[in-house]
Amino acid sequence: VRRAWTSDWFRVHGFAFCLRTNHRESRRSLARLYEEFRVAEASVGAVQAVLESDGGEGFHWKLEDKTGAEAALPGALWGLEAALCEAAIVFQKRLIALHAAAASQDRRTALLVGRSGAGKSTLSLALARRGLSVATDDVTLIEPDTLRLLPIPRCFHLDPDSVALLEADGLRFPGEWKRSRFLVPRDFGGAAPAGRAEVVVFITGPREERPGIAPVSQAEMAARLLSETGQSSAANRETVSALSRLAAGASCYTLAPGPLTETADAVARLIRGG
Amino acid sequence: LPDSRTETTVSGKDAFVRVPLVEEHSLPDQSLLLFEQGTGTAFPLNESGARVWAMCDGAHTVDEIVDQLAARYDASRSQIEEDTHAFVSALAGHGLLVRQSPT
Repeated sequence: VRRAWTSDWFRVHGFAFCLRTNHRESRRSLARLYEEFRVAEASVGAVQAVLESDGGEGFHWKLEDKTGAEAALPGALWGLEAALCEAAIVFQKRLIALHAAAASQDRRTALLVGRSGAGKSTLSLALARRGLSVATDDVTLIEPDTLRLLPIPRCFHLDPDSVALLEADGLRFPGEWKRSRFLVPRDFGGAAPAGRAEVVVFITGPREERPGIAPVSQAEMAARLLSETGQSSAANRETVSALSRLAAGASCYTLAPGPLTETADAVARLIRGG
Repeated sequence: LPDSRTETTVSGKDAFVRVPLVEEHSLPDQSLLLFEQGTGTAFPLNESGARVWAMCDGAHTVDEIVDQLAARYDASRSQIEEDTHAFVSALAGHGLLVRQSPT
């Protein structure tokens, strides 16, 4: 039996879209991810994000000119979510997109900066297990005038090794993980951070025997942040100025990750100011 | 600093001057971010690098810069001299400094 189509409207840092789906679990999953961005009415210029269940045969998703077909739900959810995140970044005209997780505790916020595969997702969840609020594990937008942090929440992409490490670290995966492999910051109490970044950690690889945290100059961090905006080859003055001011207001470190438990303990202490 | 595009030989008697169109962002920890607008490239300098940059005003020779650094930092003069020459050479190689013509 085909279910009725539903429409939900969201506006993620200005990027407006309508989620159309005939699959209840998909609606529930994506609404969990974007709940704080829900708007009541249709927005002018909103794009349609469609996720369709074929009634047991598979799933199709579509966002503007991007499409995907998957036999199972997790692939379809991940595909549409990745397309939505990319569209929200491309939509921005002034906000600076950083490849960074945002974690906070007691109004003290840290950006964990690093490329794909640097370990941001695994570390973010290990920090959530330690009681920190993780608003995103991947992309944070920066408002250049106020330096306000505007995270784009994403679903956690975890490979089996990361899952094993997190379980060994004591993380209990919610039921959604078994059902849809779609876990979002909200599942761990993640909420948007208040204020500016007070700590900036740049994750370097590869994993070492022991975690290494070393202070770096604020100028060095500003240059490293610039390299994570995708604008390093031809940065503009406003971006350089904003990232310099962001680094100027923060304690800056590099992190060579070690074993997960030791690394997460050390980073949690850093964020708490210990 | 990243590898420079060209090799610049530096002598102690040389004086260098900062080129226009390099934006400077001073940070509270005394480090300095240089932004070269022509290529859109950023160069981070640590505290001692920022001091060298500030003294590249055409009025100080490289030897005088080394003297001032040697009076400030706990390192051998020969080491400071070697580092300063390499650093000035790299900045000049990136087009951020130009040699001051003798007057």
